[in-house]
Amino acid sequence: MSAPRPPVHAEAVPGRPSCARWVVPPGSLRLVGVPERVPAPLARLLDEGLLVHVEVEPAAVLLELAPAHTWAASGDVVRGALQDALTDPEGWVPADGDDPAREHLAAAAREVLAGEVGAYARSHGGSLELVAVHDGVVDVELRGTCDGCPAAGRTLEDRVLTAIRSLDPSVTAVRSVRPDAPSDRAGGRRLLPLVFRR
Amino acid sequence: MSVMSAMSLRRHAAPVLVPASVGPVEERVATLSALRCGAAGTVTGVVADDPAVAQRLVDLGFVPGTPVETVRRAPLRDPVVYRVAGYEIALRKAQADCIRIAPTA
Amino acid sequence: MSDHCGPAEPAGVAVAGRRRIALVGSPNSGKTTLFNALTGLRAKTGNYPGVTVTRYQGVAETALGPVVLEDLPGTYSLTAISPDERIVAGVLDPADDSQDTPDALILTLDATTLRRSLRLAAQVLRADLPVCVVVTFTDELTRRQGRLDLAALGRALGVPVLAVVGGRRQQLGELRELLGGPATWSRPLVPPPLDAEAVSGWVDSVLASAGYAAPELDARTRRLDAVLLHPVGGTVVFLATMFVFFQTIFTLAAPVQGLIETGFAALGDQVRASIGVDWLAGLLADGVIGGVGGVVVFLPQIALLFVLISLLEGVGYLARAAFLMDRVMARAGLEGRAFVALLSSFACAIPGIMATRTLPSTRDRIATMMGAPLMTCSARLPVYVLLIGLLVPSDARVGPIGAQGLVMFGLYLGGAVSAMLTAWLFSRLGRSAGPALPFYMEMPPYRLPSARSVLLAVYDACRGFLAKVGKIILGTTVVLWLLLNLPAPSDAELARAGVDPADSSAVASYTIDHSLAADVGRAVEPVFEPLGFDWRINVGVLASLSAREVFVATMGQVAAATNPDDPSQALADLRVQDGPRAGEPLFTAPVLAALLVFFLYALQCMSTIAVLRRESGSWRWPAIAFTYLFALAWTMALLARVVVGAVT
Ligand SMILES: Nc1nc2c(ncn2[C@@H]2O[C@H](COP(=O)(O)OP(=O)(O)OP(=O)(O)O)[C@@H](O)[C@H]2O)c(=O)[nH]1
Ligand SMILES: [Mg+2]
Repeated sequence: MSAPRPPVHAEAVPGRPSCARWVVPPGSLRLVGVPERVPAPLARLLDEGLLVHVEVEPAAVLLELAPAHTWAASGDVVRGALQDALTDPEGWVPADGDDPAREHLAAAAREVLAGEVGAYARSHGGSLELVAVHDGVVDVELRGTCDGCPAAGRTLEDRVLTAIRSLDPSVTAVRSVRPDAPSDRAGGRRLLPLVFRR
Repeated sequence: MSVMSAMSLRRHAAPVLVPASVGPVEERVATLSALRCGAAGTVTGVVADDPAVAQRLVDLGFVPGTPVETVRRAPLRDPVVYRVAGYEIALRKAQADCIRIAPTA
Repeated sequence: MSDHCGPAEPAGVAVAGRRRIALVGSPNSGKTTLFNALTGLRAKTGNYPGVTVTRYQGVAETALGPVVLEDLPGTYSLTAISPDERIVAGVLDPADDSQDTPDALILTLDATTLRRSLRLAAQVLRADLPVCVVVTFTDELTRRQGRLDLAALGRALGVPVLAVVGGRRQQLGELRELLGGPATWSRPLVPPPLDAEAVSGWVDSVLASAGYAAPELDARTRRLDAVLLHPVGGTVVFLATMFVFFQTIFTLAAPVQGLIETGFAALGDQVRASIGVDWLAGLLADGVIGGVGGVVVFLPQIALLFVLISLLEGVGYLARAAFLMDRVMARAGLEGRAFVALLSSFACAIPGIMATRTLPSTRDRIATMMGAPLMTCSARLPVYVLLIGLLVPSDARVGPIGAQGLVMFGLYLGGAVSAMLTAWLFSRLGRSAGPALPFYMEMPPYRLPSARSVLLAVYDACRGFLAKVGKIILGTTVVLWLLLNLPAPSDAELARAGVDPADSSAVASYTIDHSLAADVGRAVEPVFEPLGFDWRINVGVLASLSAREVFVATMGQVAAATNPDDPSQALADLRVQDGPRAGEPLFTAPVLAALLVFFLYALQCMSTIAVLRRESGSWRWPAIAFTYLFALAWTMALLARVVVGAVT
């Protein structure tokens, strides 16, 4: 093993005690959802029946332990395997080959809008909707009071950008688009609102 | 003074490497004590005769990969205040000798 | 809990059946501050890593009734290398039967040193106990432009996390709520790793998740260190501070002292006038009021001393002192922390001896314990002030500097140098006792101690002093009075000696001269004769074995019996009664010098002996210390008498 092991830690997933949400360095994986294939160290644990489920989230990997095991006992083994697996990003094969990097960014954006930054906008009587993701650019629609508030534009964009960057460093810009204005969707694609689970 | 340093610098016992992470970069074995005042480096390992001493230095934050910086020398040149892991700590030369570093340019 | 003399045993609290919650955390992370806030107690705090060296218990009110809270020494790691750390490791180790494992832990994390503190957190979170994290110093983090998201930190650690700054009452509500039910606290789902490098990864990941921005360098600390840690500047500043301090001990305290003196004199007169029974009036006026009052007079000096000590401890100078003195201490085979233990002995040898627990090496510990009783403790202060007052006129000056302060400074310096030499000697003797263990000293930023904490320290010290006066000194004084006044001479005896029974002062001095105490004092005369002590001084010296201040009380009684109207003058006028020097003044310069030096060295403090026994684990060391220091005291006193005699 030459590359240093990436820093990780585990957080609990409310309501799912057998699941641990392993927070991994942002940008270490470029896919979301349940991967088709994972690198050998992690695949081995799945084969051995220690792990039953692997799912990638923006800057996190959700791992589910088989019922007979506890995190207290298996944590160190799983951590090591996960860290080794993270040093091989190519070994993580996404389930469908659409555009995993874009999916990852979209998921990151959704997580941010559903989280604190979105809550901030809502607390000011507005809301933020994800419109499109293309080439590292995230288009966000400002609704309610946010719309038309000149101060809102830049500061919100900056906040959203910073927050998304902490989950996916590949993001290059956040643009706000007006609900009525015909948005420039060249190369982009309207995204169905997906429910983000956290 | 000489008695003291001779006592703590016993070099005959087998060294304990904590942890053995870095490869064979033996030619560049610089220790923290060699760092000029104001200079910085990165810890590459902790080597001490006594494993308890090595363990303690690690617990104090001198872990491989951590940046360190020399802040100030005592009037008689020893001990020296280092900045590591976001705080300042004074070490004697005997302890600083245990800490291997790669100087940063 | 007081700073003042008296072994600091873990406070006795009814523990049985109550839930016990222990405070763990890095040194100087604010455990004791939090403990005090939660329990309302006043355990000692200070801006120095290693203030608490023993376990303290107290009761904290919570939402669900009281719990027993236990304050522990700080530690950088659960792999202990010094006795204070072993206490923590022992308490947390369920396999250690000598200590009950607590039911839950409060882990304090200093927000300004979080990267290091989380390494300890990793170890603590692996212990199979409910843990609640209290983040401290968030005020300082903000001031130094750092950032930390507490909620995210809580998610990352998997345990309850909240912030309490300096034990502020407003922030304690939520904590009290939590302390009620540790069973409901969330536990980390996956325990943190064990391996050193894996811990670094864990710490990095947790910090990144918690949006941690480390604080910027403390500009104030940098600027102050540039002066205070300067090879020349630092030394000059330190000595100048001490110097000014010893001057103020005399000048600033004098008016208050005068007031107390007048008060006690008036009280004595009142008692003498209103009590008809002669012997009772004598006991109360001369014995109790003369003796106790003589000691209480020094309260202002004690208060001043503790203002200085608590300021030094509060601002963070002690760690610097350890840093500056480490090289010097190394010559004595010791280390900087030993110097701090010696410095703590300025208050009292007992906290100084206890502070040796922070030293990893047994040899260093014993050597420092042997030196600690030589540091000028606050109990010597009254003796010194009394004797210096007799030796040097208050208006005498050396250039612009008051001579009294100069002598006092010299005595403190003499004590410190002798302490170091003694430590050096014992460290040489104990050479084989083990290898040198690592020296490291965290340098906390300078902080402004709150006026409250300084005042409380001074108040506690004064209270401790008065309590000591009320117990040991009062008791000894009464016994002494009896010894000095029994047996009461019969009229026939007086007539035989040619004393007029109507002349009360003649009777008084006859009684004292033929008292039991006089017999004892004369019996030991051969020992102290070379030092120029007469039987009265001998009685004072013997009585001061219980506590040094008793010497002052004894002299007070002798003086009060001789001349109730002006005891201070009476003392100066005492004459040698018998022997070749009969008729000469008793307190000549050589004798006073010998006495001062004797008090500088002699181990006259039962509490110190008891603590030496406890901390060293056997009677051997206290016995050695007592003998060694007595021999030293006698020799040096003789030397002082000869030298001063030759000069004057
Ligand atoms: N600014 C600030 N100062 C604090 C805070 N908490 C404690 N202090 C100060 O920090 C110093 C250390 O506090 P203590 O309570 O003695 O620390 P401790 O953890 O008991 O230290 P040891 O007993 O040496 O391990 C004291 O001077 C306190 O007044 C805080 O939250 N903010
Ligand atoms: Mg404490």
